[in-house]
Amino acid sequence: MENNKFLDIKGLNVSFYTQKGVVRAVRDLDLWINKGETLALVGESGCGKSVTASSIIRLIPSPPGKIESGEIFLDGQDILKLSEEEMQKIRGDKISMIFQDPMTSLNPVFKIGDQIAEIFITHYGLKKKEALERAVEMLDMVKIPSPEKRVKSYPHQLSGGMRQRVMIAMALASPHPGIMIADEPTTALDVTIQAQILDLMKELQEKIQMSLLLITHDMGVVAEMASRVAVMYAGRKVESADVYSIFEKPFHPYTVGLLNSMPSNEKYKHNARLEAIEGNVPNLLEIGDGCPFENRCKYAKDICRNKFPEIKDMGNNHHVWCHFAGELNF
Amino acid sequence: MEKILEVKNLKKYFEIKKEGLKATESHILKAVDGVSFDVYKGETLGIVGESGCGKSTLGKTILNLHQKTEGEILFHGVDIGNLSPAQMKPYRKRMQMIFQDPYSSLNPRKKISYLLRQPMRVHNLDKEIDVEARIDQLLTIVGLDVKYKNRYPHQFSGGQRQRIGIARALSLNPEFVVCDEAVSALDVSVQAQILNLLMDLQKEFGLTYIFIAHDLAVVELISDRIIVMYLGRIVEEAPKVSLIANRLHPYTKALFEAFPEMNPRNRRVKKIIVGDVPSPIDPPSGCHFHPRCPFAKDICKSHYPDLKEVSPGHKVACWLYE
Repeated sequence: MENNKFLDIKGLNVSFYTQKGVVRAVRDLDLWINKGETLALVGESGCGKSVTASSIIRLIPSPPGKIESGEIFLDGQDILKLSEEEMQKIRGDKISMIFQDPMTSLNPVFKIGDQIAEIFITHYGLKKKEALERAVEMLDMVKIPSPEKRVKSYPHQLSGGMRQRVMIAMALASPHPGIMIADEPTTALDVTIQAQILDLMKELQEKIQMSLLLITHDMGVVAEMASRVAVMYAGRKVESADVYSIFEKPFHPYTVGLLNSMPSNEKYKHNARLEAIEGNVPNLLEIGDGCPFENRCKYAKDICRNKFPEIKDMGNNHHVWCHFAGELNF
Repeated sequence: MEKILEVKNLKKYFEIKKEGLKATESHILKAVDGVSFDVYKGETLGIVGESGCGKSTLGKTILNLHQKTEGEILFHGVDIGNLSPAQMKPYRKRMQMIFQDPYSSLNPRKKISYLLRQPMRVHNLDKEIDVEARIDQLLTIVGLDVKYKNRYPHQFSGGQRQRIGIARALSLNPEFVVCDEAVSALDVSVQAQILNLLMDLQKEFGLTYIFIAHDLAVVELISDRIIVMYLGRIVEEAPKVSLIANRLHPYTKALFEAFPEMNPRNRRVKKIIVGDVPSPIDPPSGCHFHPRCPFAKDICKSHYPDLKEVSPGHKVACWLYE
């Protein structure tokens, strides 16, 4: 089991030093992904999911950001110990990343063919002409119609869905695609296009046995894609389990609240009023050492304010960080 | 049931000018192209569709925020599309809008109390009622603490700002509110709070909503009736129950099929429609959906089907149901 972990994050702490104080964006995070597996990292704005992703590719802007402590093992190697030069070889090779808005990750003044070809030139040492031929193959692989013509397009000439396909093509062009980090990859897309992109990601992932870290706030996308799920809230992981357990037997009050907040939850077929979580996400500057969900949790007691809970093992690799896990009736 | 709004064959075209080095090309973008429907008192009419389908333009045109190109917008029988701004003013008070982005729809340099006072001033209500008491009342209605009224918009979270937007829309006691993607920018847990608030307010004040959104689950939850749009036209219109039980138009089916379900055990192989939404500047001939439609026949390529009622209240524009 242990050596099957392609990505293994241990005790990660990331802070941002702002004028107003220190924001502890990620706290004591443990996370792992097996080879070929899809882990969904779920949570709302400010929960630390994107900061986690940036830490894995070591693109935390520093200053103000700083990885305070922790280890990130990628294929057995602690990447936090690598030099910037060594890290550059890993980015776009073993790790690739796609973002919510492909327009901001593609260079607007270069043709998409040239942008894909660059990967083949840098990582494979190919000549320009061969690299362009490979770029056409990649576009074909992500099902872009008439790829020979499309290599000559500029990013603005493509639709949002097509641009996201290009990003996926670039991610897959690497010599050793090991893990793809997808940060809200379909949030900006229309639902019919979202379905196409999710489908494509699933298909390609199976084909090349790549691990996928899917960052999203949409529990529907999670249900569609994930094998395991980790739920984050205000910098902390609060629950992790396989996808079925998360949807069918969640233990953390926040996970339950998140599921109940979704209008597509089957329980609202007949009853319109949603069971919403009251209150707002706390200011990360003001969070102490207690459970960050304490101020919105209707089950909170004194201990929750003062102490973040120890891990509770509910069996079957289902872990919960709640003082009262297993004792609450939702 | 009392009709408060009748929209008849409404069109809103935009002229798009592309300036080249030598010549200026001009195109007509038919954002809303011959749309007819009624809105009944106290109901929520949901309008769904993907980007570029014209749903937001439709919302703004109904409120006369865009000058219509053609057609009628009858609000309680009066065609408001032809009114001058001065004539329009008394109607403005009765119809309001809640916008998607609570960040850009509130002036960052004004205090909340000012933002809520301004509509009442514009409509000269400040002489009739105690405006300050009304501001307190509005804040309480939308679930904000009265002590916040001297704060600025940036001091609030997204959800709180949307509450302020709602308070401002309600400040003139409207009967009809257009919510344009009113919860789309919010986090899920906050979105649930705002949806509950909108539903509570509707009950309390007997409001009529047009609820425009791209999130199908949200629209299905809040609406009594639903209109599905594609490239400027209505493809299906039905009571919610009827639409859930029986989606007729191939586009409606594809749209709802594509929406991810909340159940990992239902991860079946889906029928996903191919292709992108075409450009509204140059939509496909005939039925605009035909290039993506698995059931397209010859007639679909040449003629646009009429919106026809196939069962009570359930209308569809598709040659399969002729």
